This record gives sequence, structure tokens and C-alpha cells, in this order.
Amino acid sequence: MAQWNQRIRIYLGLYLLFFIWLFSLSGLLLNHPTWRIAQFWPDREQSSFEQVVHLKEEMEDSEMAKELMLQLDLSGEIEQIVPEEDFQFQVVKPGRIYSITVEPEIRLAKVEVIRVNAWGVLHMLHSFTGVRMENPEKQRDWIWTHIWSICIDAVAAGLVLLVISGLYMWCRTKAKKPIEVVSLIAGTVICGFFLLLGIS
Amino acid sequence: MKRGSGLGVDRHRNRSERYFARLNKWTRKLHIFAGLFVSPFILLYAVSAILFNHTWAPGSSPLAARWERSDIEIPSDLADLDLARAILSQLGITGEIEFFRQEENATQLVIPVMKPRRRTIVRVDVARRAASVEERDLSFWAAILYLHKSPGPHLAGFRGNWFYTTMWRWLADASICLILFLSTSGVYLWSLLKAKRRAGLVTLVCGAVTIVSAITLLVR
Repeated sequence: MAQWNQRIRIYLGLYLLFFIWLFSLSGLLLNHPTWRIAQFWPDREQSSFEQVVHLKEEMEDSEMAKELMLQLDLSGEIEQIVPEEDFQFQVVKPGRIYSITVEPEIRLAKVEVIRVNAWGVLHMLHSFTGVRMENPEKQRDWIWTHIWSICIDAVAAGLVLLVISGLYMWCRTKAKKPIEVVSLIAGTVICGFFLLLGIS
Repeated sequence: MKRGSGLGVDRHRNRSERYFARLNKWTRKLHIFAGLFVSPFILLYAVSAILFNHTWAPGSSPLAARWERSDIEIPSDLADLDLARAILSQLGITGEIEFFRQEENATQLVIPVMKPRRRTIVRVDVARRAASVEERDLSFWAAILYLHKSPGPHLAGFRGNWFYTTMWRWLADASICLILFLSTSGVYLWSLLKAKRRAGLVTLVCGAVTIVSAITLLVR
């Protein structure tokens, strides 16, 4: 059991190493929006283009957006469909945001493209799940968002497993040093304190 | 001559062996020490990441209390965060001020205040100098979701206006630094295990290939 635990710990940790670094560094950036490197938005590049599109009648909004993406050769996660006079929607993927407005009468699609730098990509990767807490009905609609969300789950579950296996290994050691016990208690108490802040 | 230089080499080797033995011992000690401290924080971030990823939102929070207070002093020389703070101190409310909004031609001020387990919304009627306060208790799951996002990238100049939010920012930074240390020291400790080097290297490369492929396919 102990040997298996050590094996899982080593190989899981090594497999997830770069994922852990990615989410740690992007977390640090999200935590410090005033840092120069975290301010990727003012350095964004904007461009636009127009294209004639063919609109099929009697299509659902999401189907229409997918059809338009195919015609415009765009890929990404569909966000915010606004089916008003002009059909508007947004397509997002790490590093790029496309805002598409289609005027149905003249069958013209205007596409505004925003590109952000590598720091912006890192920032977007941290929270690129394709779903939102505020809008639980929204589903992922891009295959790569599905795959990235599986990666996020795998990293999170892997971290939980690494913590459990580490605690198991430590519990098995016969001579536990007082400083180690103090360290575990301190971490638990501080974390617990914040989780209870505001409780009545 | 030869003998003397041989002794010198031995001494040098012994010294470097002692140095590495000490380095290994301290790396192992610090790896355990840091790992134990940061374990609860890693669990918090990992569990909340899964919740975010599946939009497993905690249910709506029931109203815990609603009360009013009149004769509120609204200092005219203060604005935004300072004004919000002045009003909240009169009401005895503490927490992270999420934002400050003036509604209906500045006749009503709205100040939402957050703590991990409590959300308070203060509405101030400027003309009547009266405040109405709504308090809602938040669940454990709502608290871990809030802490995962706190302080967050939005309203950078505003965020961290409560002592405990600033402290949590420090703790989040410390957790990240400790995770980076744990991963690096873990790699170092693995490199000492000769029997697991080859398989470990294959696993490391597989991990690198997975992340590079995933990111390439996402951003291309």
C-alpha cells in the first residue's frame, strides 16, 4: 500500500507538474491585476472584417450561431447570443474574442476580433470552462472547451489525491516532529477561520 | 605530490557529499513542512475549481435578518469607498465592500458587503437619511467558491478594502509560492530515486505533451 501510494504520488505529481505551474502562475496574475504583466487588456490588438453570409430560415439561435461560425471560419465557445434586430453573438477562446453582428436584411456579418498577448492567454486559460455560475443553463458547445474542462477536473482531482497521499505518508511516519504537527494545525486553523468568517 | 592531490580530491568529494546530504535532508524536511501547512488551502482551491467547472452552485441563501436604521449621517465631503465606509461604520457592518452604486438620481446608495459566510446589502435613502439592511447567511460551499475568487482581478483599485481580504490575498500568494516550491522540491526528490528516473521522465514528458497539445488546440 505504502509503495503504491509513493508511486501514485511521484507519477501523478510529475504528470500534472506543468498544469500545476500553469494554474499557479495564472492564479498569481489574477490575484494581482495591478501588475504590469497582468494588464494585458490595454495591449490588446483589434481588427475587423466583413463577409457576406447565407442565412437559413427557421433556425434556433444557437444553430444559427454555429452555422455562421462555419461560414466565417471561426472556432471557439459561443457566448452571449443577442437575437435582436441584428443577430449578435460572441465567440471566445483563450487569446481571442470575436464579436459578430449580422444584419439579416443585407446578409452581412461584421466581425470584430480582439487578440490578447501571452499573459492574456494565461489569464483566460485559468477560467476557461465554457460555463458560468450566474448562468447555469449555458452549456459548453466547443469540443476543446470540453477537453479543457476535463483537464481542469483532472488537475483538481489530482491535487486532492496528492494531498491525501501526502497526509497518508506522513501519518505512517513513526517519529512525527512537533513542528510538522504545528504546521498542519496552523494551516487547518487559518483556512478554517476564513471559511467561518461572517457566520452568525 | 600525487598522494597529496588524491587526498585533496577525497576531501573535496567528502565535502560535496556532505553538502548534498544536507541539501537532501533539508529539502525533504521543508517539503513535508510546507506540504502539511498548505494542504487545506490546496483542498479548498481544488474542490472549488471542480464546483466552478460544473456550475454546482450552492442553493439560494435564505434571508437571515432585515433591519432599518434612521438618522444616518451622510458626509457630503466623502465619495465612493470612503463614503461607503463612513456609512457602514455607523451601522456596525464589516466586510469587503463589493462596489458602491448610486441609484435613482443619487437618491439611493447601494453597498453590498461580503464575508465568506455572509452577504449584506445596505440601501441608503439619502433624502430620509435611513438605511435598510438585508443579511443572508452563506453555506460552506458558497464560502469556498467566494474564497477561490477572492480578491479577484476585477475592480482592482477597490478590491481588498477589508483587512481580511488583504490577508487572504497574502495567504493565496503564499499558497501559490508553496505549491511552486512543493512541485520543484518534489521533482528534485524524485531525481534522487534512481529506480524511478526513467518511468518518471516518461510521465513528465507525457504531461508536457498533454498540456502543450491542449493549449495549442485551444488557441490556434
